[in-house]
Amino acid sequence: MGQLLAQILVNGLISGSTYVLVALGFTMISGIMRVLNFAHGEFYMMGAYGVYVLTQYGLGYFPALLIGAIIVGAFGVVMERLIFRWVIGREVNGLIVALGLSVVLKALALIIFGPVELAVTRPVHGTLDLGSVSIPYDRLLVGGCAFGIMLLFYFFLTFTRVGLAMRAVAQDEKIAAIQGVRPSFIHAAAFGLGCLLAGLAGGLMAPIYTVNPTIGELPMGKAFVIVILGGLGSIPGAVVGGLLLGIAESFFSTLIDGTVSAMLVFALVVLVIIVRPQGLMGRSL
Amino acid sequence: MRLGRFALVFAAVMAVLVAVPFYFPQRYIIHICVMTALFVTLGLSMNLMLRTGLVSLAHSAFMAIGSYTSALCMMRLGWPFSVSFLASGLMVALLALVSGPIFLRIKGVYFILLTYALSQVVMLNFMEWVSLFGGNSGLSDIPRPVLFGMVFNTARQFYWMALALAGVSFLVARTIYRSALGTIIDAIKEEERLASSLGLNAMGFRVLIFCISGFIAGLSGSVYAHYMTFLSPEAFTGVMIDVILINVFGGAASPIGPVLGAIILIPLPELLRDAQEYQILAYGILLIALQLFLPEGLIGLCRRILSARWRRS
Amino acid sequence: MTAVLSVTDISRQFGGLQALSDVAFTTVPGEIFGIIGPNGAGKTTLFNVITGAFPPSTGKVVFEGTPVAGLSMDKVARMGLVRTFQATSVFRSQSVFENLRRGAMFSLLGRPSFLLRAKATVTAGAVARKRAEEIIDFLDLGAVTTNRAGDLAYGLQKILGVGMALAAAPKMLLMDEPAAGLNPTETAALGKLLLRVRGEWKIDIVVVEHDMQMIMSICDRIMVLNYGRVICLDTPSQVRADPAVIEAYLGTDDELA
Ligand SMILES: Nc1ncnc2c1ncn2[C@@H]1O[C@H](COP(=O)(O)OP(=O)(O)O)[C@@H](O)[C@H]1O
Ligand SMILES: [Mg+2]
Repeated sequence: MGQLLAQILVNGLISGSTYVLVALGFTMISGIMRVLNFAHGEFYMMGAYGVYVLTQYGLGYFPALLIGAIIVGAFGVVMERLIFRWVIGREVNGLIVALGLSVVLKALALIIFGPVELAVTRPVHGTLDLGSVSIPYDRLLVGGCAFGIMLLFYFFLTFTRVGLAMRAVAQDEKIAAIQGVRPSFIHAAAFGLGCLLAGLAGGLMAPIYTVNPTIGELPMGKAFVIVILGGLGSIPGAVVGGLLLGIAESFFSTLIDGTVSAMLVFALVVLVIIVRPQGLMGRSL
Repeated sequence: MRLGRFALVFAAVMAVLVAVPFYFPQRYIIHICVMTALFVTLGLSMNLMLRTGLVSLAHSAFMAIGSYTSALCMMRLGWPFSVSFLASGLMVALLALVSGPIFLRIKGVYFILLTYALSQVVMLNFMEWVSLFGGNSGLSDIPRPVLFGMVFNTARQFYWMALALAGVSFLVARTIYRSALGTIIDAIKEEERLASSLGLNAMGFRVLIFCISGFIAGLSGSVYAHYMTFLSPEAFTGVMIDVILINVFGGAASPIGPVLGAIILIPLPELLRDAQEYQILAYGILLIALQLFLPEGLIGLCRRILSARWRRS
Repeated sequence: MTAVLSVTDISRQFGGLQALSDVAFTTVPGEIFGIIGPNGAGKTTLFNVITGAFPPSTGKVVFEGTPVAGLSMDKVARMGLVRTFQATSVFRSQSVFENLRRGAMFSLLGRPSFLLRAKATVTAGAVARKRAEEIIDFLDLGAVTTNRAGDLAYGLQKILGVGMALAAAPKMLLMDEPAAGLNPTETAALGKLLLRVRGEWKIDIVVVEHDMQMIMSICDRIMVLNYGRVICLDTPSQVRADPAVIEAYLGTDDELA
């Protein structure tokens, strides 16, 4: 029993860690710009395609992952300057624009790559056997990278000027502006960074599953659940919510089954809203 | 007097629309007309939400619930169509009544996220609960409705049924907007805190609108189910965006907006059957461009042109 | 018999911040009760707790013998305890008349159940229009009835806000800094207006204000809050002389006139 629990926990933490990467960007963008980026899953999808294309051109997996994510991030910055900056703070309009972008990106992926499942070769093979728990190396890699990225992101927000400025803008844009932060720069940077994180998550998951135009929908749905659990705009909330969701899903789906697991997770969300409407961690970066 | 004029115009428009199948008897044109009428109904249902300041991403699921409810009531319970039809609306209204107060507990955009999650869970049920809903292959051989001893089995009859539903939905929406309830939802949208401070139970009215809107969406699902005679979860995927796009395109500030939006946008993909992905691409670009450059939609554009001309003369 | 508001040992925390601690007071029928205190003292929080914007952490609020703490803002308002906000708050896109009509209408048709009573809607419409007209006369807004509320001068918007609260037929008004942002003339006029509201409409008033001159001249009693605690509750002349009050205001911008 203890062995099973440990395995469930490890599986949950690994899948949860990729959820966190998607949810972090989503929650940060909503905290800073008051925009619900419904196209966030499509940036994840772009990250996966990025890895696919770049490895096709002979790049190694890791350079492809990095370069792909940076391209996705840069694309995010362009989208922010082109589209999203006009709807900052207007949540409903922002939502509609983002829905539009999500449709556009999915259609583009369909046009360019077709409705086929593309496979990315795994960078590592085999399984790590720890006696009680066994973890495939590719999963371990994803989890390790995801936690590493989270750590870097934490240092970025806590110790760099731009990171601190982002938190200031999230708390109170007017006061931040008085203190000399340029909100428009922060908006673009935050949007780009959020998309970069989503791109990284997509690139990390690409070798594990196949790549198709709609792969972004699932992680985005998870990100919604996570921000409801953790509190919209809350960075710690996204981490706690993401890991919790990963573990809960792993637990329910191992012991019962996938569908029931989804229902139970939804029930959990409803319960959290009833008992703790401000989310598990409240709101603020 | 004003009512008189409106009634006249409304009756005239309806008369013209009723006559459409006589002039265009082709099967595929009538099919497009049925779908357009159903989307007018759905668009109006979403319009009620938008006017209250709410965006629901559950309306595709609501339509699906209406469809499955109505189909199963007839197939499994042997209920007559009239009862199944009402049951489909009531089922969705009930779901809105239960979930609304919970979803609206937290302020702001959480409602949108929660309706999305609800819709995912509902659709998952339709896909996975195979014994009842038939899973991914769905339900087939859904019986045709019988009303007043008349069997509905031609597309033309369904067109009239869908048209009647759309007409009634339009009247309901218009009546609401012109009544005290309309003032109340406007106020909730504009300044909720102020409205509550004056004694208005904003939450209660939001839930009410969610229920009315869900009821209408459920009814449209029922007509859809018996018209198609087969259902699968996949059929409802695009609805979520379409109902919003219809409103954004036509303009959500007036009930005429979604009507125009549906009449212009729904026939398009049916007419251009090829190059689906390019159409979807165009839809997305349209949605973004409209939201940025024409946020009040066609209705807003008309009003602006009219008022400009007014000022000049 | 006019209304009585009784607040017993209200406390409220926000995370680690103690915004209110053991605040207690009871109003006397027919009085204008003032609340002052430096910025951040907890005055708005006190109003929020009394009118149900959020519940107190501990303590009781009783209005006309009924406990109201924890009830929703609209329910409290329908019981006759109506508040106004520190920032101007009007339906900007609507006319002055419509704003006042809404004030009356929402108090009459505040719950969805009104839809089940067809006659209620009709009578409420007539009552609301009549009340709006009365208030337009009372506030002398005749010249601007059809103007868009958002286009009004700031001072007029604040007056309109008071009018809307009056239209909701309150027994007691809770006003949060009604004179904030007004010039001295407007402030003095507002003070007179509050006296007329009490005199002619028989409505009790609890008012939070920064303008000392105005509040000292119209209030029967004044409560002073500092860091969420009551440091003094007395008549204006006593409050003015209280050493604790003077100390609380020392070194702040607020001048004790
Ligand atoms: N909703 C809230 N969440 C957290 N802190 C709050 C909230 N409302 C008020 N506060 C804090 O409570 C204290 C009292 O605020 P407030 O009642 O607005 O003061 P006043 O109206 O006397 O100027 C302030 O420190 C404020 O920051
Ligand atoms: Mg205050």
